[in-house]
Amino acid sequence: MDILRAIDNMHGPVFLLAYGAFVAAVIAIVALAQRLRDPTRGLPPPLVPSSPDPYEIAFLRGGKNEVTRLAIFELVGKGHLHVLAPGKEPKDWQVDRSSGSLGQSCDGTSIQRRVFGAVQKPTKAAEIFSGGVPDQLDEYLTPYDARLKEEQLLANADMVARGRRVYVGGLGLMAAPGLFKLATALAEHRGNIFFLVVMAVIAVSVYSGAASPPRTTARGRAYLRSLQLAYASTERSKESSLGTRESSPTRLPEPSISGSSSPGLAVAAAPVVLLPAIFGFEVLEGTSFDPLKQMFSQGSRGGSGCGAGCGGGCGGCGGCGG
Amino acid sequence: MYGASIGQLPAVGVGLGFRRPYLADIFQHRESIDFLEIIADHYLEPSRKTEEELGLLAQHFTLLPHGLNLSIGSAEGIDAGYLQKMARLVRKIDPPWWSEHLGFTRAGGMHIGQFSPLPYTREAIEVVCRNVDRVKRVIDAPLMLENITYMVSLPMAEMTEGDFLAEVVERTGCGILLDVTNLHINAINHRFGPQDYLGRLPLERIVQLHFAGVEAQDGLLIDSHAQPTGPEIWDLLQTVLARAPVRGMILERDENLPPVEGLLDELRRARDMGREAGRWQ
Amino acid sequence: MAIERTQAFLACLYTDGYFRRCFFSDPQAVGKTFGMSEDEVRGLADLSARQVNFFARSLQRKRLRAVQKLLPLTSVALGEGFSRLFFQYLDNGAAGGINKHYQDAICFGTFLRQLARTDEVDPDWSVDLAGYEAAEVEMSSPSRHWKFCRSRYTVDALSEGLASGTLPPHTRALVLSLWWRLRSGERVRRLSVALPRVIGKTGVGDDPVEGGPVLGVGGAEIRRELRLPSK
Repeated sequence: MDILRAIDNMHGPVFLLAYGAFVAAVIAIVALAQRLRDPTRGLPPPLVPSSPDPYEIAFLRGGKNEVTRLAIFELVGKGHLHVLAPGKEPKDWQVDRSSGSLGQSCDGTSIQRRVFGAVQKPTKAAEIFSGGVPDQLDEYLTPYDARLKEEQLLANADMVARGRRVYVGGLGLMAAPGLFKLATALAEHRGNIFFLVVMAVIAVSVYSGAASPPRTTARGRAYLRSLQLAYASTERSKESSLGTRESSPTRLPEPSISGSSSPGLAVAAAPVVLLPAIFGFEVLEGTSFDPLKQMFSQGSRGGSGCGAGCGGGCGGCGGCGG
Repeated sequence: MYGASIGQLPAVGVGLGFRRPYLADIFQHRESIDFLEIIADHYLEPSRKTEEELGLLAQHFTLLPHGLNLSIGSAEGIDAGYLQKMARLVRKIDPPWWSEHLGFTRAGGMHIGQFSPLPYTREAIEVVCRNVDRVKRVIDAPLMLENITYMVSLPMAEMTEGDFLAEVVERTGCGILLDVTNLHINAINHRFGPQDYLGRLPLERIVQLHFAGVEAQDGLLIDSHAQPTGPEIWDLLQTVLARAPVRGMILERDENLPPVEGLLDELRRARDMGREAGRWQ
Repeated sequence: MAIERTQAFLACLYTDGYFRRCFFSDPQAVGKTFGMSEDEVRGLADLSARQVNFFARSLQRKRLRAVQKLLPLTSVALGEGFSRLFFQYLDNGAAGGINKHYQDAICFGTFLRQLARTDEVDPDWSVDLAGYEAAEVEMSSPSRHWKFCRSRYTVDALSEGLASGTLPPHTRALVLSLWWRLRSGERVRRLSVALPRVIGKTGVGDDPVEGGPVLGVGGAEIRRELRLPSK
């Protein structure tokens, strides 16, 4: 009761400062707790496979949204879809069919066929996601989901439930002083609650981003990091397999492991689809697929987020050797 | 004790000298590569990313560190800092053995930048023995000494190169990393028979082999590591495999890098040779 | 110890061109200045000059190849002049240690800058490009936290153009570049600022010429260098 009286008696600015510090502490503690409670911490990641499945990797990294993006990349690369850029704003760009059907050349992947089937007319990136295209892939992603949970690369139901309990508990703890202050202010007909409301909104969105139970486990994030390290040389020489910004999208080869097209340059012989699967669409920057990167960096909000540390470029340092 | 452990070293098969442009390739073809030889110097002062890379490689392959700058033949002694870093690396990856070159890269405060031949004298043998002794006090893992190519025949020799190497390994207990390509190059450039050289060596101490392509430059052969392995090297490999209880072979390729399939073909051929000679399954 | 002296002598012979030339023209004199005994000098006098020179050249080529990889754009800019200037740098003493190739690249950049004060390095902007690339090499060391570099030309434009195989218009300008990383091992960030045009001692200004450089005085020479059609 002393605490409640103290909160009630605090002047507005003082309360906001103290509450801000309290919120930051709760967010940090809950985010840390979500990580520390991960039972896969310290477990070695699986070995890098000889023939990684790019769609499984994309699903691990970013869920069905990422799988959808990857399928579109591959369809553009094989010439079945193309990018229309009617204006300067990438959010207005569209993908459209280049051909009426996939025929036999699509290597038979159901995911690509389903995504191709969903693009019946010029479609913006945002429309692909708001139109439920990723949801149409659920049946194909269930085996990935099961396997990744079995390998402890994705959080299983038990981990998710525990993580949610921590999340909800932290949210309650974080909200309590603010709600109490809000309630007393309203009861006393005080109207100066604007900053409190703004702080609450910001706090909840930051909390959701930082303290949500991660979808990927520590082992899963370590595995993604292994893949990024293993394919770092491919990422560094991406222009040789993905073309440069000035050229049309490079026609992707049929998925088979093949040697470099440039005899004197030992570019890693990785199926090029692995690049966006492992590093995300950011890797397409500066390549002939740059328009896709620009389109989808704005058009794919929501969906299954992946915990901090997965996705994104591998990085380097200023273009020098090493 | 050091010498006795040579006979207990495991057979590791046929591997590749690790070069970063092939990083993704080696994961895609892991079943065709038995182990990797890493250039130790790249990992002695590692960045965080290099440490991660080393950890990733160690998780997937047996790694053998191969040093470049220990300068085991330097009369002024071993660089203590370099030795400590090498010891740390060896402790971290726990290899079945590690290797360096029988030569010197440093003298009189100068870094030569390449392996230079030692004078084949008793005094030089004492220097090497003293340095190896110091190394063994710090690094437990068995050390293999590699024969280098040399352009300069030092005139003060008291014995042949083969005799020199033989006495060094007998006295230090080290094993031999026989670079078959280097042997061929030296034999051609300095006009001696490789069989005579092999006849001088304690063959039971040959633990590992290096092989690579050769190139001619200004009328001499050089170890550019820039070409496919040639027929004379394959013949020499077959001879050595038949006579010495080799545990591992490494293909070296540094320049003019081909698609990885070319290297894998060479590894397959070397593996078959070793299998026929009964060196591994 | 005789072998210690012999090795130091050999190291000098392999790495110092002037020492090597002196020795083979007068082994006795050079050997004595090195503190060698008569017997030692007699032994070393039998060294084959051809073999020693071949080895020395191979050492130089090895270092040259390594530095060309670390300063690729400078190598393109200087063309055949790169190897000539690099061998000149080696003759003045070379770097050593685990990271000697990185040190060579950095020191070669400094060498070019010093050389440009007294001798002409052609093209002039290659000196600034070398400094720029050498700065990037320095920053490749994960423990290095910041590096500042000043250039007399728009090195960004030069780098991009050379990397894509063309030579774009470049201007003489005071370009300040700062590289930094907040924590060891972190990705490096760079900021380059070209300050307003500087009218230099030669009194040249910046007149943009289509497809060409911007010097007034000396512009004709530069147009020839780029094989541009004359105005």
